[in-house]
Amino acid sequence: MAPWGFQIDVAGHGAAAALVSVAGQHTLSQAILTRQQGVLLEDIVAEINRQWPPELPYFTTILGEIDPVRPFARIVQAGHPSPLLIRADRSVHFLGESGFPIGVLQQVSYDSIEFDFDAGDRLLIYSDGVIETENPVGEFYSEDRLRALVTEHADGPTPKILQCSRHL
Amino acid sequence: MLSTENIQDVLIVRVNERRLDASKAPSFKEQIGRLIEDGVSRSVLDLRDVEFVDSSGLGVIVSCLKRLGPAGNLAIAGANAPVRRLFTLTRMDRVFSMHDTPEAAVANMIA
Repeated sequence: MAPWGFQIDVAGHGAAAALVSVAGQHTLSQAILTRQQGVLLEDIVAEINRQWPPELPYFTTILGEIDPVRPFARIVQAGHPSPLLIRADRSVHFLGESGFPIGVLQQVSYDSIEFDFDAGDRLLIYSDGVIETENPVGEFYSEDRLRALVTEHADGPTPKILQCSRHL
Repeated sequence: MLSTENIQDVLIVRVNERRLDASKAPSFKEQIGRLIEDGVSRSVLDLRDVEFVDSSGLGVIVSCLKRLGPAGNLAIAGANAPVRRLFTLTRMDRVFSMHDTPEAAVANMIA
């Protein structure tokens, strides 16, 4: 199986959101681990969405997989902010524009985004907590500012990029 | 938190809050729920005073649409750029009709 991963973010705070986060992680992991050959990533997400109990809070996610041989990667964006693709040549690009969160509307479909993912390329996946951070004068840390900051540090090692994103 | 007026039989609900986030979501849900229970089917949510909506706030807005039922209609007016971005990111702009003003939303609704 190709390497895969996801990040999820549950609407709301506190114990209920934390429990739903565990349920969401379990559901996504199980869906990937029991995936039949040839089943598309976007169809897995659509099925999880169809079955998500309407009484639970919704969540957003980026679910992705990497094919190291070709080499390319594929992600499904479900209400989660657009990840940043940091190329080995230091160029930085947003991937994807939109997608329905999981658990908001049952009968919706999802798209996957495919992109070349070669040695030295990195993908930065983050939750809306990053771009919704407010500075002391009430300005939000926008996608544009995140991109500018990441571009500035794109030649540095990954821990450096993470460290500077923490000090927005 | 909410103030209301009627324009051509459409209920305009103005949210008098700067932030519609997790701390405000429960009371927002309760108050708007009470308005919907009064038999409203067509409504416009006026967000001109709202600078920020988080996922909890969006969840309440979506739950309003569901409570209005299949015949119900809920439009959004006056959303600023970050709020609009949240709606497009989550594709809720395909679910709600979005307008600059409540008047424009009403005109679209009764057209």
